[in-house]
Amino acid sequence: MEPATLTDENQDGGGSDATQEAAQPADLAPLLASAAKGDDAAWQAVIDRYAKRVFALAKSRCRDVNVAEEITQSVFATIAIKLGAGEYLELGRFESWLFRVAANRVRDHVRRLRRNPAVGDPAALDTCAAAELERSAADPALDRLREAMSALAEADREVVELRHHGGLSFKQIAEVLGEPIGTLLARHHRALRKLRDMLEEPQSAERGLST
Amino acid sequence: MSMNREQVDSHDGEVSALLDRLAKSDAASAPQGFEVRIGRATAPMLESASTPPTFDFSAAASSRNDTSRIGAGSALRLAAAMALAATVGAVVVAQRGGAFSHVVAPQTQVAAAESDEALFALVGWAEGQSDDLAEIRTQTESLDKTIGGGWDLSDLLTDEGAS
Repeated sequence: MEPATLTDENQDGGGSDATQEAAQPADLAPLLASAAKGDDAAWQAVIDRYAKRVFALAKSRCRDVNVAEEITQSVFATIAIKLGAGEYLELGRFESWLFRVAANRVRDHVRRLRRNPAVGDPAALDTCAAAELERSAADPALDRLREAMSALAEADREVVELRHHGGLSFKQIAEVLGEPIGTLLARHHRALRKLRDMLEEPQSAERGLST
Repeated sequence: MSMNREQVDSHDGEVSALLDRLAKSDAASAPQGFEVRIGRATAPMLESASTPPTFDFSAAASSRNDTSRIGAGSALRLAAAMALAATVGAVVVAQRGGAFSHVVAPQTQVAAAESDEALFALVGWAEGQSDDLAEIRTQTESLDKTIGGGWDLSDLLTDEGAS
Protein backbone atom coordinates (compact mmCIF):
# COMPACT_ATOMS: atom_id res chain seq x y z
CA MET A 1 0.00 0.00 0.00
CA GLU A 2 1.20 3.44 -0.95
CA PRO A 3 1.99 5.68 2.00
CA ALA A 4 -0.78 8.22 2.45
CA THR A 5 0.04 11.84 1.88
CA LEU A 6 -1.72 14.92 3.12
CA THR A 7 -3.10 15.45 -0.39
CA ASP A 8 -4.55 11.95 -0.40
CA GLU A 9 -6.14 12.60 2.94
CA ASN A 10 -7.80 15.76 1.76
CA GLN A 11 -9.10 14.10 -1.36
CA ASP A 12 -10.55 11.14 0.48
CA GLY A 13 -14.04 11.74 1.85
CA GLY A 14 -14.81 15.01 3.60
CA GLY A 15 -16.41 17.80 1.71
CA SER A 16 -17.37 20.16 4.49
CA ASP A 17 -15.64 23.37 5.48
CA ALA A 18 -14.54 21.70 8.68
CA THR A 19 -12.83 18.81 6.94
CA GLN A 20 -10.89 21.18 4.69
CA GLU A 21 -9.33 22.79 7.74
CA ALA A 22 -6.50 20.30 8.03
CA ALA A 23 -3.46 22.42 8.70
CA GLN A 24 -3.16 24.47 11.87
CA PRO A 25 -3.96 28.15 11.22
CA ALA A 26 -0.94 30.45 11.37
CA ASP A 27 -2.53 32.82 13.88
CA LEU A 28 -3.20 30.06 16.39
CA ALA A 29 0.24 30.03 18.01
CA PRO A 30 0.18 33.69 19.15
CA LEU A 31 -3.43 33.25 20.22
CA LEU A 32 -2.47 30.28 22.40
CA ALA A 33 0.53 32.14 23.79
CA SER A 34 -1.67 35.07 24.82
CA ALA A 35 -4.29 32.74 26.28
CA ALA A 36 -1.62 30.93 28.28
CA LYS A 37 -0.66 34.28 29.83
CA GLY A 38 -4.24 34.81 30.98
CA ASP A 39 -5.60 36.88 28.11
CA ASP A 40 -9.36 36.24 28.32
CA ALA A 41 -10.08 37.57 24.84
CA ALA A 42 -7.51 35.24 23.28
CA TRP A 43 -8.89 32.30 25.23
CA GLN A 44 -12.42 33.13 24.10
CA ALA A 45 -11.18 33.28 20.51
CA VAL A 46 -9.71 29.78 20.89
CA ILE A 47 -13.02 28.54 22.26
CA ASP A 48 -15.02 30.23 19.50
CA ARG A 49 -12.81 28.55 16.95
CA TYR A 50 -12.99 25.00 18.26
CA ALA A 51 -15.92 24.57 20.66
CA LYS A 52 -18.49 23.67 18.02
CA ARG A 53 -16.32 20.94 16.56
CA VAL A 54 -15.70 19.44 19.99
CA PHE A 55 -19.40 19.79 20.74
CA ALA A 56 -20.33 18.02 17.49
CA LEU A 57 -17.99 15.15 18.32
CA ALA A 58 -19.53 14.73 21.77
CA LYS A 59 -23.07 15.18 20.49
CA SER A 60 -22.63 12.56 17.80
CA ARG A 61 -21.96 9.96 20.45
CA CYS A 62 -24.18 11.19 23.26
CA ARG A 63 -27.07 12.64 21.28
CA ASP A 64 -27.81 14.78 24.29
CA VAL A 65 -27.19 18.50 24.01
CA ASN A 66 -26.61 19.03 27.73
CA VAL A 67 -24.20 16.11 28.06
CA ALA A 68 -22.36 17.27 24.94
CA GLU A 69 -22.01 20.76 26.42
CA GLU A 70 -20.73 19.33 29.70
CA ILE A 71 -18.15 17.25 27.88
CA THR A 72 -17.09 20.24 25.79
CA GLN A 73 -16.68 22.38 28.90
CA SER A 74 -14.71 19.64 30.60
CA VAL A 75 -12.39 19.38 27.59
CA PHE A 76 -11.72 23.12 27.58
CA ALA A 77 -11.22 23.12 31.34
CA THR A 78 -8.47 20.53 30.91
CA ILE A 79 -6.94 22.52 28.07
CA ALA A 80 -7.09 25.74 30.12
CA ILE A 81 -5.37 24.18 33.12
CA LYS A 82 -2.60 22.61 31.05
CA LEU A 83 -2.15 25.66 28.86
CA GLY A 84 -1.95 27.95 31.89
CA ALA A 85 0.51 25.66 33.60
CA GLY A 86 2.75 25.67 30.50
CA GLU A 87 2.17 21.98 29.83
CA TYR A 88 1.26 22.43 26.17
CA LEU A 89 4.51 21.51 24.51
CA GLU A 90 3.33 19.94 21.26
CA LEU A 91 3.72 23.09 19.21
CA GLY A 92 1.85 22.98 15.92
CA ARG A 93 -0.32 20.13 17.09
CA PHE A 94 -2.92 21.91 19.13
CA GLU A 95 -5.87 20.41 17.26
CA SER A 96 -4.54 16.88 17.71
CA TRP A 97 -4.04 17.54 21.40
CA LEU A 98 -7.47 19.12 21.81
CA PHE A 99 -9.23 16.26 20.07
CA ARG A 100 -7.19 13.66 21.93
CA VAL A 101 -8.52 15.13 25.15
CA ALA A 102 -12.02 15.26 23.65
CA ALA A 103 -11.89 11.67 22.38
CA ASN A 104 -10.71 10.48 25.79
CA ARG A 105 -13.48 12.38 27.50
CA VAL A 106 -16.13 10.92 25.20
CA ARG A 107 -14.65 7.45 25.67
CA ASP A 108 -14.75 7.88 29.46
CA HIS A 109 -18.35 8.97 29.27
CA VAL A 110 -19.37 5.99 27.14
CA ARG A 111 -17.50 3.64 29.46
CA ARG A 112 -19.21 5.12 32.51
CA LEU A 113 -22.60 4.66 30.90
CA ARG A 114 -21.82 1.11 29.89
CA ARG A 115 -21.05 0.35 33.53
CA ASN A 116 -24.10 2.15 34.81
CA PRO A 117 -26.68 2.83 32.11
CA ALA A 118 -29.00 5.58 33.26
CA VAL A 119 -31.96 4.26 31.30
CA GLY A 120 -33.17 0.74 30.71
CA ASP A 121 -33.16 1.15 26.96
CA PRO A 122 -30.49 -1.16 25.50
CA ALA A 123 -29.83 1.47 22.86
CA ALA A 124 -28.31 3.57 25.63
CA LEU A 125 -25.38 1.18 25.71
CA ASP A 126 -24.53 2.04 22.13
CA THR A 127 -25.42 5.68 22.04
CA CYS A 128 -24.78 6.79 25.61
CA ALA A 129 -28.12 8.59 25.52
CA ALA A 130 -28.47 9.27 29.21
CA ALA A 131 -31.34 11.69 28.93
CA GLU A 132 -33.72 12.52 26.16
CA LEU A 133 -32.76 11.37 22.71
CA GLU A 134 -32.86 14.32 20.44
CA ARG A 135 -33.90 13.34 16.96
CA SER A 136 -33.68 15.43 13.88
CA ALA A 137 -37.21 14.65 12.79
CA ALA A 138 -36.82 17.10 9.95
CA ASP A 139 -34.26 14.90 8.23
CA PRO A 140 -35.00 11.16 8.28
CA ALA A 141 -31.85 10.46 6.25
CA LEU A 142 -29.74 11.77 9.11
CA ASP A 143 -31.74 9.70 11.59
CA ARG A 144 -31.02 6.58 9.59
CA LEU A 145 -27.37 7.51 9.37
CA ARG A 146 -27.23 8.01 13.14
CA GLU A 147 -28.72 4.58 13.69
CA ALA A 148 -26.29 3.04 11.24
CA MET A 149 -23.35 4.70 13.00
CA SER A 150 -24.38 3.23 16.32
CA ALA A 151 -24.01 -0.20 14.69
CA LEU A 152 -20.40 0.46 13.66
CA ALA A 153 -17.47 -1.03 15.55
CA GLU A 154 -16.15 1.37 18.19
CA ALA A 155 -12.79 1.87 16.48
CA ASP A 156 -14.38 2.51 13.06
CA ARG A 157 -16.90 4.91 14.51
CA GLU A 158 -14.19 6.87 16.28
CA VAL A 159 -12.31 7.44 13.03
CA VAL A 160 -15.49 8.51 11.22
CA GLU A 161 -16.44 10.94 13.98
CA LEU A 162 -12.98 12.46 14.29
CA ARG A 163 -12.88 12.88 10.53
CA HIS A 164 -16.35 14.33 9.93
CA HIS A 165 -17.45 15.82 13.25
CA GLY A 166 -14.01 16.81 14.47
CA GLY A 167 -12.93 17.90 11.00
CA LEU A 168 -9.46 16.43 11.43
CA SER A 169 -7.14 15.29 8.67
CA PHE A 170 -6.03 11.67 8.70
CA LYS A 171 -2.59 12.81 9.81
CA GLN A 172 -4.15 14.48 12.82
CA ILE A 173 -6.35 11.45 13.52
CA ALA A 174 -3.19 9.34 13.46
CA GLU A 175 -1.72 11.65 16.11
CA VAL A 176 -4.89 11.50 18.18
CA LEU A 177 -5.22 7.72 18.11
CA GLY A 178 -1.55 6.83 17.80
CA GLU A 179 -2.12 4.58 14.80
CA PRO A 180 -0.63 4.51 11.28
CA ILE A 181 -2.40 6.61 8.65
CA GLY A 182 -2.79 3.63 6.35
CA THR A 183 -4.71 1.73 9.02
CA LEU A 184 -6.98 4.70 9.61
CA LEU A 185 -7.65 5.20 5.89
CA ALA A 186 -8.59 1.55 5.57
CA ARG A 187 -10.76 1.74 8.65
CA HIS A 188 -12.52 4.86 7.36
CA HIS A 189 -13.12 3.29 3.98
CA ARG A 190 -14.49 0.12 5.60
CA ALA A 191 -16.77 2.18 7.82
CA LEU A 192 -18.17 4.13 4.86
CA ARG A 193 -18.85 0.89 3.04
CA LYS A 194 -20.65 -0.56 6.05
CA LEU A 195 -22.69 2.60 6.47
CA ARG A 196 -23.59 2.57 2.79
CA ASP A 197 -24.69 -1.07 3.03
CA MET A 198 -26.76 -0.38 6.12
CA LEU A 199 -28.36 2.67 4.58
CA GLU A 200 -29.25 0.78 1.42
CA GLU A 201 -30.78 -2.19 3.24
CA PRO A 202 -34.06 -0.63 4.35
CA GLN A 203 -34.51 1.13 1.03
CA SER A 204 -34.14 -2.07 -0.93
CA ALA A 205 -36.47 -3.80 1.52
CA GLU A 206 -39.04 -1.05 0.96
CA ARG A 207 -38.61 -1.37 -2.78
CA GLY A 208 -39.09 -5.10 -2.52
CA LEU A 209 -42.33 -4.62 -0.60
CA SER A 210 -43.69 -2.05 -3.00
CA THR A 211 -43.16 -4.20 -6.11
CA MET B 1 -24.14 -7.00 -11.38
CA SER B 2 -21.04 -5.90 -9.52
CA MET B 3 -20.35 -2.20 -9.19
CA ASN B 4 -17.20 -0.79 -10.77
CA ARG B 5 -14.72 1.35 -8.84
CA GLU B 6 -16.25 4.68 -9.95
CA GLN B 7 -19.65 3.60 -8.68
CA VAL B 8 -18.20 2.46 -5.36
CA ASP B 9 -16.32 5.74 -4.96
CA SER B 10 -19.40 7.74 -5.81
CA HIS B 11 -21.42 5.79 -3.22
CA ASP B 12 -18.71 6.39 -0.63
CA GLY B 13 -18.80 10.05 -1.61
CA GLU B 14 -22.55 10.14 -0.98
CA VAL B 15 -22.14 8.58 2.46
CA SER B 16 -19.28 10.93 3.17
CA ALA B 17 -21.39 13.93 2.18
CA LEU B 18 -24.21 12.65 4.38
CA LEU B 19 -21.78 12.33 7.28
CA ASP B 20 -20.70 15.93 6.77
CA ARG B 21 -24.34 17.00 6.86
CA LEU B 22 -24.80 15.08 10.08
CA ALA B 23 -21.71 16.75 11.55
CA LYS B 24 -23.02 20.19 10.60
CA SER B 25 -26.41 19.36 12.07
CA ASP B 26 -24.81 18.23 15.35
CA ALA B 27 -22.63 21.33 15.50
CA ALA B 28 -25.65 23.54 14.76
CA SER B 29 -27.58 21.97 17.63
CA ALA B 30 -25.23 23.65 20.12
CA PRO B 31 -27.23 25.92 22.43
CA GLN B 32 -27.12 29.63 21.82
CA GLY B 33 -24.17 31.31 23.53
CA PHE B 34 -22.57 28.11 24.80
CA GLU B 35 -19.11 29.25 23.71
CA VAL B 36 -19.43 32.28 25.97
CA ARG B 37 -20.60 30.10 28.86
CA ILE B 38 -17.64 27.77 28.38
CA GLY B 39 -15.30 30.76 28.13
CA ARG B 40 -16.60 32.21 31.39
CA ALA B 41 -16.41 28.87 33.16
CA THR B 42 -12.90 27.97 32.03
CA ALA B 43 -11.07 31.32 31.93
CA PRO B 44 -10.51 31.35 35.72
CA MET B 45 -8.82 27.94 35.43
CA LEU B 46 -6.43 29.35 32.87
CA GLU B 47 -5.60 32.32 35.09
CA SER B 48 -5.18 30.28 38.27
CA ALA B 49 -2.96 27.83 36.41
CA SER B 50 -0.82 30.63 34.91
CA THR B 51 -0.10 32.24 38.31
CA PRO B 52 2.80 30.46 40.02
CA PRO B 53 1.63 28.55 43.09
CA THR B 54 3.01 29.50 46.49
CA PHE B 55 4.97 26.61 47.86
CA ASP B 56 6.05 26.09 51.45
CA PHE B 57 9.38 24.34 51.07
CA SER B 58 9.94 23.94 54.83
CA ALA B 59 6.58 22.21 55.26
CA ALA B 60 7.29 19.97 52.31
CA ALA B 61 10.72 19.11 53.70
CA SER B 62 9.37 18.26 57.14
CA SER B 63 6.63 16.20 55.54
CA ARG B 64 9.24 14.38 53.48
CA ASN B 65 11.33 13.70 56.54
CA ASP B 66 8.31 12.36 58.38
CA THR B 67 7.21 9.96 55.73
CA SER B 68 9.98 8.87 53.44
CA ARG B 69 12.04 6.94 55.96
CA ILE B 70 9.12 4.89 57.20
CA GLY B 71 7.52 3.37 54.16
CA ALA B 72 10.03 2.51 51.51
CA GLY B 73 12.29 -0.46 52.09
CA SER B 74 11.03 -1.12 55.60
CA ALA B 75 10.60 -4.83 54.86
CA LEU B 76 14.17 -4.98 53.63
CA ARG B 77 15.43 -3.20 56.73
CA LEU B 78 13.44 -5.55 58.95
CA ALA B 79 14.88 -8.59 57.18
CA ALA B 80 18.41 -7.20 57.53
CA ALA B 81 17.86 -6.51 61.23
CA MET B 82 16.55 -10.03 61.77
CA ALA B 83 19.51 -11.54 59.93
CA LEU B 84 21.94 -9.44 61.98
CA ALA B 85 20.22 -10.39 65.23
CA ALA B 86 20.29 -14.06 64.28
CA THR B 87 23.97 -13.85 63.42
CA VAL B 88 24.88 -12.07 66.64
CA GLY B 89 22.73 -14.51 68.62
CA ALA B 90 24.42 -17.46 67.00
CA VAL B 91 27.83 -16.04 67.80
CA VAL B 92 26.86 -15.38 71.43
CA VAL B 93 25.45 -18.88 71.83
CA ALA B 94 28.56 -20.29 70.24
CA GLN B 95 30.73 -18.38 72.65
CA ARG B 96 28.65 -19.45 75.63
CA GLY B 97 28.67 -23.00 74.41
CA GLY B 98 32.42 -22.78 74.40
CA ALA B 99 32.48 -21.28 77.90
CA PHE B 100 30.12 -23.85 79.44
CA SER B 101 31.34 -26.91 77.63
CA HIS B 102 33.83 -27.80 80.36
CA VAL B 103 36.29 -28.91 77.82
CA VAL B 104 39.79 -27.75 77.41
CA ALA B 105 40.58 -24.96 75.05
CA PRO B 106 41.60 -26.97 71.95
CA GLN B 107 38.09 -28.43 71.76
CA THR B 108 36.28 -25.09 72.05
CA GLN B 109 35.74 -24.96 68.28
CA VAL B 110 33.99 -28.32 68.31
CA ALA B 111 31.72 -27.24 71.18
CA ALA B 112 30.85 -24.02 69.37
CA ALA B 113 29.98 -25.92 66.23
CA GLU B 114 27.72 -28.24 68.23
CA SER B 115 26.02 -25.18 69.71
CA ASP B 116 25.46 -23.85 66.20
CA GLU B 117 23.80 -27.05 65.17
CA ALA B 118 21.62 -27.02 68.25
CA LEU B 119 20.58 -23.47 67.50
CA PHE B 120 19.65 -24.20 63.92
CA ALA B 121 17.86 -27.38 64.88
CA LEU B 122 15.84 -25.25 67.25
CA VAL B 123 14.81 -22.71 64.69
CA GLY B 124 14.60 -25.19 61.83
CA TRP B 125 10.89 -25.70 62.50
CA ALA B 126 10.13 -22.55 60.61
CA GLU B 127 9.25 -23.86 57.17
CA GLY B 128 9.79 -21.64 54.22
CA GLN B 129 12.72 -20.00 55.98
CA SER B 130 15.17 -22.70 55.05
CA ASP B 131 16.90 -20.60 52.44
CA ASP B 132 17.30 -17.70 54.80
CA LEU B 133 18.50 -20.00 57.55
CA ALA B 134 20.98 -21.66 55.20
CA GLU B 135 22.24 -18.22 54.27
CA ILE B 136 22.49 -17.20 57.92
CA ARG B 137 24.20 -20.46 58.72
CA THR B 138 26.77 -19.92 56.00
CA GLN B 139 27.41 -16.43 57.21
CA THR B 140 27.61 -17.60 60.79
CA GLU B 141 30.05 -20.32 59.95
CA SER B 142 32.28 -17.96 58.06
CA LEU B 143 32.03 -15.46 60.90
CA ASP B 144 32.77 -18.21 63.36
CA LYS B 145 35.85 -19.16 61.36
CA THR B 146 36.95 -15.58 61.28
CA ILE B 147 36.44 -15.18 64.99
CA GLY B 148 37.99 -18.56 65.60
CA GLY B 149 41.01 -17.47 63.61
CA GLY B 150 41.34 -14.40 65.78
CA TRP B 151 40.95 -16.39 68.94
CA ASP B 152 44.53 -17.38 69.06
CA LEU B 153 44.43 -15.08 72.01
CA SER B 154 42.30 -17.59 73.95
CA ASP B 155 44.82 -20.23 73.11
CA LEU B 156 47.43 -18.00 74.58
CA LEU B 157 45.29 -17.51 77.66
CA THR B 158 44.85 -21.25 77.98
CA ASP B 159 48.56 -21.68 77.62
CA GLU B 160 48.97 -18.97 80.11
CA GLY B 161 46.58 -20.75 82.49
CA ALA B 162 48.25 -24.05 81.86
CA SER B 163 51.59 -22.67 82.68
